[in-house]
Amino acid sequence: MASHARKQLRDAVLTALRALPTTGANVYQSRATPLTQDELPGIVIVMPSEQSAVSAGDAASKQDRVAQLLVIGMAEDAQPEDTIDQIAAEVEAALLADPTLGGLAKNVSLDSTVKDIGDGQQETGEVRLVFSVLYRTAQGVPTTIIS
Amino acid sequence: MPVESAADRAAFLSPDEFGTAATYTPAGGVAAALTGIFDNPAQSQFSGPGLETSAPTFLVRTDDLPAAAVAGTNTGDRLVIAGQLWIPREFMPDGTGMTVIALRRTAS
Repeated sequence: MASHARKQLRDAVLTALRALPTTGANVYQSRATPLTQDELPGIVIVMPSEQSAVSAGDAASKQDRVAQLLVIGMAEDAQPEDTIDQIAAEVEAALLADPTLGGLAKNVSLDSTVKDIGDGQQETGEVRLVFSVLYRTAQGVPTTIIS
Repeated sequence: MPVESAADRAAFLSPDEFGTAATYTPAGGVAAALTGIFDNPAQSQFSGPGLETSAPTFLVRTDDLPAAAVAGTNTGDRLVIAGQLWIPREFMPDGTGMTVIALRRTAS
């Protein structure tokens, strides 16, 4: 069976964020285990929730969806806040350069940014970027993204 | 009142027992040799999914710390343990003659 539309969107996000200057190939999807030292600085992407509704003025055949996209950047070094701000700058630029994710989405927008600094072998930093991904599917056909 | 003597603590930290030789250099001061027990247990930071790091420490006799030693990330003090350079970021004396030094890894 074809994959859910959210999987297609996550794959598009993964492609857009792979090979950024700071994180390079350290981009992971739906990761449950902590990033290891050799995976830092790195990014984890996940779509934890979604809101949906029948398209306005439609005969219940189209479904507008807003998926929450969480992009988590992490680093451990001498100046982690600088590093995670740099990760955020690169992620925002890469995702919003094409807010349709190659034609799959109607729009991608940044909703919020939250940062945290911790302490380990060196100082650690985490930045959580929350995006809204607006897209549409046919009612009852979640594997096909439509315009 | 501590159960063990200063000699007991020194024997415990001896490189012949559980200790590791190290060098403590206060900022602008003279390097001093001391021994201690290095520990670096794994530790996770943040959640969902977070990252893996560690919590390095060095256990020493309180009296072995140089008089000019000042803990902190910006004081300039340095500790070399087995060829690795560390910043002594916090001193945590236990009140019985031993001090745990919380460490931060550094390249310079």
